[in-house]
Amino acid sequence: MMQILESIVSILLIVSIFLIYYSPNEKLPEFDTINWRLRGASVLKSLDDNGELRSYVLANDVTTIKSKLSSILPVNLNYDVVLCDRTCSKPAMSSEKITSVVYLLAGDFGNITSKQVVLYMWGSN
Amino acid sequence: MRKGQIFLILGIIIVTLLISLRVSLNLTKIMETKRYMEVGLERREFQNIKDEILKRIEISIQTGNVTNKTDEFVSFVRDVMEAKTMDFNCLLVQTVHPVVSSGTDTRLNVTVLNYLGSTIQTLNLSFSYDLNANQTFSSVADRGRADANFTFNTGSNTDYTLTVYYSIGSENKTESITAPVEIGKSKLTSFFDLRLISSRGEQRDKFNKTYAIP
Repeated sequence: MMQILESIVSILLIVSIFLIYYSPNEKLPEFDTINWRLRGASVLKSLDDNGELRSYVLANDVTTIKSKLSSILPVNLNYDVVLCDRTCSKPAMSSEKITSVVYLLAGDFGNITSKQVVLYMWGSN
Repeated sequence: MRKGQIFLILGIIIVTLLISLRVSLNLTKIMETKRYMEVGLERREFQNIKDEILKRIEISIQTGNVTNKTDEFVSFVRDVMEAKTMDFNCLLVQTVHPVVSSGTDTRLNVTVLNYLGSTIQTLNLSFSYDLNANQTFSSVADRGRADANFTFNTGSNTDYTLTVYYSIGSENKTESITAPVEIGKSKLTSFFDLRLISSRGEQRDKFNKTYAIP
């Protein structure tokens, strides 16, 4: 009888500690989206530094921007590019994890237009 | 030792292991790392804004009307950042003068763009060439501007100083901006005090840049 009681006490001890310290209420922070954003921001910056992004944006050439990104961004990452002025429409997508980065452009010689490049990134459900 | 006591001792050992594992996870440090990464991303956004404001000035110099085109871009940045629940505030001062001829009166146009997020109650501009010729403005609204002009006459290259004093709320600030003048050249000097404010903190930079106008 004593042995059963001691076993029950030890099991209760383990379970209660597990529930207290590993409770689902205390979620670990999520790093995927911030990593995607950092990656996306670097990719847009390097495309601009190469002198490619600005000309594609001012020509409203989303297709070429997307194809350039496809070779740089991780294969398992879904993405979409939206070019807009002051206000942007959000593309239709469904995912629990979705994020975006904005890159601003002040125009170029011969085409002084303010533009924002919004790179949406999301994971597969 | 009985079986039950062994269970109890094992239970205590497992509990100790669970607690030490949880402590080693150090949630605070993980949160700090994430915050650090987010601040890093905001720093990149701020750098993007700075680079593009300078780019806008650079490309506007070719076509003229630099101040209006800079104003349009700063207003655009403010709106985009507002949509991202961030505040972009700035004070922008631009001075521009035509080609300077030795010993001839030359006009220096000064524009102050107020994007500080509040009305500037008092704005005073003074120019080192003639300190008596200072100009005062009151109630310069947010997104508003103040235009002034001064005259100088020089026989050699000189670095003049434009002193901008302004008060917002209970704060009084003074900025001294160097406006270099070179015989035979037309120049534009821009002073920037840029701030990007989010729930994570503030990015700020204050600098000025002079451009030769072709």
